[in-house]
Amino acid sequence: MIVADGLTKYYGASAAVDNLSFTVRPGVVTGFLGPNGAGKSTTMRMVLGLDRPTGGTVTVGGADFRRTPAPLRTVGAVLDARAVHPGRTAYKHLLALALSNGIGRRRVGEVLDAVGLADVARDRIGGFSLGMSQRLAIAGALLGDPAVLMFDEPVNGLDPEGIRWIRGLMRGLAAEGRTVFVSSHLLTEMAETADHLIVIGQGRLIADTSVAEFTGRGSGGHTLVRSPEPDRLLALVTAAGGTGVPTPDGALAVTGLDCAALGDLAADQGLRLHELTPVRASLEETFMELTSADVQFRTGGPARSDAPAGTIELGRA
Amino acid sequence: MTTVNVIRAEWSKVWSLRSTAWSLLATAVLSVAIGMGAVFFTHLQEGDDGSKTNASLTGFMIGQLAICVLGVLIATGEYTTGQIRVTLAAVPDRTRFLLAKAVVAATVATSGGLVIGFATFAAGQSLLGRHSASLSEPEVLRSLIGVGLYSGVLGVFSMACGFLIRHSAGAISAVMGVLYIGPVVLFLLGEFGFAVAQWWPTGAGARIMDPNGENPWGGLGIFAGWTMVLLVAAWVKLRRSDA
Repeated sequence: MIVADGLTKYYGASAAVDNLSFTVRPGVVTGFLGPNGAGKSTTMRMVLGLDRPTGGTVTVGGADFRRTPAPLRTVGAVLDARAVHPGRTAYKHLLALALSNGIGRRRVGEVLDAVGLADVARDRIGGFSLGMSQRLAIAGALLGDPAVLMFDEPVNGLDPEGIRWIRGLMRGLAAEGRTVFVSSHLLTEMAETADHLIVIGQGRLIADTSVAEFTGRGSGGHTLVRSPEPDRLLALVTAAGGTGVPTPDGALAVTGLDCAALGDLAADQGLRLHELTPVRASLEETFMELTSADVQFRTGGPARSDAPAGTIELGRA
Repeated sequence: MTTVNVIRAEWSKVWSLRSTAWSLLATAVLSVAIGMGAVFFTHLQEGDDGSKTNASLTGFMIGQLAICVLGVLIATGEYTTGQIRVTLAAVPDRTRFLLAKAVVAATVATSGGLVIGFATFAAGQSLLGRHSASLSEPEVLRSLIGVGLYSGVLGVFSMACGFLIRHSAGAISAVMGVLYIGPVVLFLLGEFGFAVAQWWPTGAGARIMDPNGENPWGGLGIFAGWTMVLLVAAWVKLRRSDA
């Protein structure tokens, strides 16, 4: 369990992390979502005691990580996978980490097997691809069999097979009852992996919610209706109090009336329908909407009449 | 996690880099070769044991540069590569981390210095045949052991500079400045410079390697004192700043 309370980090006069409070619970994959520069990595570094908070606290398992007696058994972290000494072999790199925490040599072999690097264990890290470096960093995180795992943008540089592997790994770790905290700026990635979301923008908390609930927020989506008589459909929808916007391919994107209402309306009026599809707002759209609203709020600018970037426009979604 | 665990980890780290063995080998080869040359060209058959020992150790004045590089890289190798974050995520107790680094730097540099000291002596004196200086002379033995002790302090001194500067080139330049440029500047300053030179870190420290040196242990103490000051500064910086 990771608990942040009023966590704040200033670099000079600008806040990288601004009064952030959240709890990351065990047993589920918690996504840490935000655009680049939102403060995700800074937050993770503060969890590990690498960066000192300007204000607030963050604890792992109830304690300050800097005072943990067995660090690698407490938190396994994958930060910047490239940030390792390139001159060591994969085995020696992991061995030094293991030795520092009194973990046996056999465990080094086990984690190398687990991430599929056993064959290159005696090769120098400098020659590794980004994907191999990610796997090595993951091996290091698994060394101490920790109860809490943190991954900072873990899918970067991985091929599709590697991405599938790491998703399975993270879900498996959560299913074992561990706390899994994974950051990403890719919303689609989070939708695939995470159960719960902590969303930040410009260092501030935007949402702390389940993925399902988060997707349901924002504009909430619309219904796509297709009929051989589009003009009549539009007139009926408008008359019934809905709003319809024609799409380029001849359908109508309707808000204000749900699927049931539209189906009943069509049956009552004897209108033939060829399609009736509920379209939920994608995670991406909701996210863009929330973060752009946040930017507007923070800059204190007047509300613009034109829609902010990423807001769902009917007919285009 | 115990301090012994962290020392074992840092020991493993220093030897898992090729640069460690290479820089020690370079120190040894340079020191032995230059030392032999110095003995060969100075016709020391009639000199005292101290002068003969000093001639053998001439090469170490150049060779010690590799000890500096080794000490600096033990620290800056963490920062220039970003490894420091991986290291401190595994060892968040920074006092323990710095202590382990210092123990490893001191041990590697001292043992390297001891081997180099005795090897250069043996190689140089072999050229003098029956006129060679004797190890049974206490001051000769002390100065050869002194090469090891001086190296150990220099290794930690360089490592502390590395932690303070965090860039390899910058830290190596700083240590080279102390080693080679400082003494020249002091020499040019005449009387005042001479007085300061008695307290100059490496100048004072080097007296332990000179069989004819005045107050050799005091000199080593001065060097160790300077090193402690740098080490404490490095500790304060390490604890206060973000990794």
